[in-house]
Amino acid sequence: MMDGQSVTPTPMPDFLSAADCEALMRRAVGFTRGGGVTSMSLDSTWTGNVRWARNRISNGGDSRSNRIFLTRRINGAGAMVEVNMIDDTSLTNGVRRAEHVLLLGHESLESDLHDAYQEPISHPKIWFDTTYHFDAGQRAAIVRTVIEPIEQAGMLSAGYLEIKATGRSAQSTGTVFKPLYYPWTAAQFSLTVRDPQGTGSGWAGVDWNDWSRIDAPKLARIALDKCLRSRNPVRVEPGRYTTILEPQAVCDLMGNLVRWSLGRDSAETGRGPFAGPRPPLTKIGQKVMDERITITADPMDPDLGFPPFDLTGRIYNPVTWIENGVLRSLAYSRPYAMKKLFLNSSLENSGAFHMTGGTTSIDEMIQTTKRGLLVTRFFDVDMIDGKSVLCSGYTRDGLWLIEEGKISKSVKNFRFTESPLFVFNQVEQLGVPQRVFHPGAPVVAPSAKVRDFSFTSLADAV
Amino acid sequence: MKALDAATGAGATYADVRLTRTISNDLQSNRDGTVPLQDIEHLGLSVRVLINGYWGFAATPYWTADEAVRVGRTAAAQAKVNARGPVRGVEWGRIPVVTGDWRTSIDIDPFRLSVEERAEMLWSLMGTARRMVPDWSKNGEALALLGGNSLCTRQEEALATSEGSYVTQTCYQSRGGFALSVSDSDRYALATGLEESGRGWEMFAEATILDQIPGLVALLDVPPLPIRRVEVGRKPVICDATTMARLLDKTLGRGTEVDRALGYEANAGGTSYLGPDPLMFLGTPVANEMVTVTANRSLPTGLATVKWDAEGVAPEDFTIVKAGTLVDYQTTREQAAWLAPWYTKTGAPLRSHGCARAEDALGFTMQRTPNLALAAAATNASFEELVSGLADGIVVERGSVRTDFQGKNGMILSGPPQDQAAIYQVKEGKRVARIRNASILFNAPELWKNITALGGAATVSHVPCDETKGEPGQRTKHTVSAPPGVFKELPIIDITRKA
Repeated sequence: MMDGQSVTPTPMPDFLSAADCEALMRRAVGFTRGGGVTSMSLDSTWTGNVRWARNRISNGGDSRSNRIFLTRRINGAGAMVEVNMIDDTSLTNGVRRAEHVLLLGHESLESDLHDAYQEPISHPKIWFDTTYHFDAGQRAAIVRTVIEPIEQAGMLSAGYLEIKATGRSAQSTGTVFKPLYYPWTAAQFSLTVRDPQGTGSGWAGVDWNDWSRIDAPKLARIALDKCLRSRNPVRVEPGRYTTILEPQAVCDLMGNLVRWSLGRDSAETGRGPFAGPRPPLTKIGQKVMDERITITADPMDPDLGFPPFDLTGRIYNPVTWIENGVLRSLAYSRPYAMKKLFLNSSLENSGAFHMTGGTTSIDEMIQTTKRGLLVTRFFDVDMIDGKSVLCSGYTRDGLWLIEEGKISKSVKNFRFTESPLFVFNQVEQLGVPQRVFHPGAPVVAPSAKVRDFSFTSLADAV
Repeated sequence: MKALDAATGAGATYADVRLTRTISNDLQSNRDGTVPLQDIEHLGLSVRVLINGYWGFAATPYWTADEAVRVGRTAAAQAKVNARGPVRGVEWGRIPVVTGDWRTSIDIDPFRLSVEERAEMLWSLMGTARRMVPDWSKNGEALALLGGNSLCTRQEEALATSEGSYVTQTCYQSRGGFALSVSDSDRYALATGLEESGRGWEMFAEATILDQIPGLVALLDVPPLPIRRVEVGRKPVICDATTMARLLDKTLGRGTEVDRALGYEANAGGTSYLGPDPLMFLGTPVANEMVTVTANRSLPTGLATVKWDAEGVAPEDFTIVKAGTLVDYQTTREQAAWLAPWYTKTGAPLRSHGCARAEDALGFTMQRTPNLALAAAATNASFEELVSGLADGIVVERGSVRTDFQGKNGMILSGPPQDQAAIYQVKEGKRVARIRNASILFNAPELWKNITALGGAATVSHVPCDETKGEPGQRTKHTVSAPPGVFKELPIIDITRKA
């Protein structure tokens, strides 16, 4: 059934090193025909994970995976194929398929502009041996350690621990390009604790490049505490509430805005929240949210830390999207930069962000609240309207009513309808920013107390 | 076999090895030609091992003998460290040993044609279509022809178990897109027959796109209905077959995944409104008596159709909801035992329903949604006949459905206009306006009890659905078959209105 594969050198590495990637590129180039430019970009990843449910480990795994993009360009016509193997047969087939189909395409002067321009990259410290060497036995042991007190409390937990080591490489035979390679580690830990009757649920989680920064027992205590305190929720009426958003909830809401609304081209053509009064004007330079909020993304940020270029070799330069509430930057591609800005390089959006905050603790926020709600996190946040960034979604895993400066009762979940642009213009207090759970694109966010958050209907799921 | 030997040699009570090769090609036709947007080939090899009730797993893209042995040993080592904890019981049962080869019943393997042949066929189809679209200029509007793309995927899989089963399967999935639209408007007419399904290149070779063009033009030639803002309130609602399939998928479909009900997905997509104890719900009413839901992995063009699941089980069609009563959940081998008291009580055999599946061999096997089917009414009621009986209400066509993390509360929204989706206001059996920003809220247990009519067998559509599940998340596809349905009053809201 399967095509024959040629023998590859053994043993295979957990993930491809810089030398492996350069050798792979040389072999791929050796298989090309017809001149032109050959590019290869890849993520090669090793993953170790443990998953558990109902207080027992339900699976533990060890996986290797590759995503290898091979691009051939000849005279402005180009084609890309994706493979995950590195043997000669697979590489030859991949190169040949790309060459085959580029004949179908048409030449385009623009296609070459999509090639990344060679710039110096930053070198964030995002590789940690403490992550890479956290072996299967240790992973299973820490999970058993966090389960024990939960089981003793008569509750049920389910969770996931994952560590990863990735080597990212971007190479091209194009004249301006030197091989790029960057390795990093990633670790994530999250868990949900529920009572056996299904009337309460608590969650906690975080991701870091460095496993040693993840305090799994502490997260487990938080999730257990939230579960116990969220049991038997009562119904309160939908409406507008002064709302304390924990940092995860701030991330869940702001993430959509950062991910989908920061395109310069869209804004200049009248789309999205940051379009000006008429094309090609934008809202750059205008105040768009509370002046205490600054949103940046810098691979060198020690609290953030992400690879310095994307999977196609585009460099992530440090950027300030919003400064003291004022929109400062919008992302653009290299063709856009060359045509409109007479610049040679793009401004890429990694989706990672660091949002500033204040110094108010959640306890202080509660104490100063006459009547309001405390939100752990949101689920399924969906953008309803791109212009106003109006979103809808559900609260999940811990929602409480605050009365007269104290948490008075656990309440049933809500569906909400709200825009981060409204919410973050209604800020009363901000907490200390902290790393939250957002694997793949790290986020640092503060807790926030905001006025008039709109909860539109009851969603009595637990 | 080396991988299996390595796993069993390391003490596994059960092990399976899977190999997959997945190839996928996406062609897009435009005015300048036909170009491939995506061309992917992925290999996978994995071993899953059971030791003392605990699972271990290892996967790799590299198909070499040494790597297979390493993966087998690694999976066993994973299971052993996981098993150092308290006892975990797995009732694995026994199933017949199976061997054989199976493939999706298709006429033309897309990958036996060269990419040039496929591109040329699409290009010539689009050229003919372009010439057939009439010159149609009214009030400055023109007809535009969109799409002309084809996405074909073939996954070859081999499964060997330590019990002696060895099967190979080849599954095909294809989808295309072809639409006409009125320029500078949100009016679209989509050709039918190109929905994602378990078909091969015949989907395009035998496509009736050209025959459909006059009908699509006629559809767009009708003056568009006025657009009105939503009137908030409660109204009877009629959902077309596509919307009904999506409703079924997100509520009773998600809800009867037994692992979700028991909390195995609590930290991911969520749990189920038919939990936490499935035994409390089995035998109880979950819908109106006219609702019967079955599951299968046998629908000829179904996206979840196979002969054997990822554990070597030959799936049988089974009933989930019988005349409104919940009678079963979706299960794998391990999970079937969780429902043993119910099967003993009802005299049903304790067997897996064959729902074990993974995205490819790089993913761990889990319970995944099979193809689902909502039984049609015995009448011959067509969708338009149902609509014509509506005095004052709402009609949803190709609506999208979102729910909370238990599939319990949700809303029906208008899908994108490019999907020819719309929500209409109906008066005296006629659509009188399109409604902007409308959404219909529902509570799943109430929704299925408030159904008042279903369309007949001829109205059933087979709708592609997908689900992302697990940690790390895996996405698999399945087909949901459903007729249109009529619901008693449901709350209609303005989705953009805040509290």
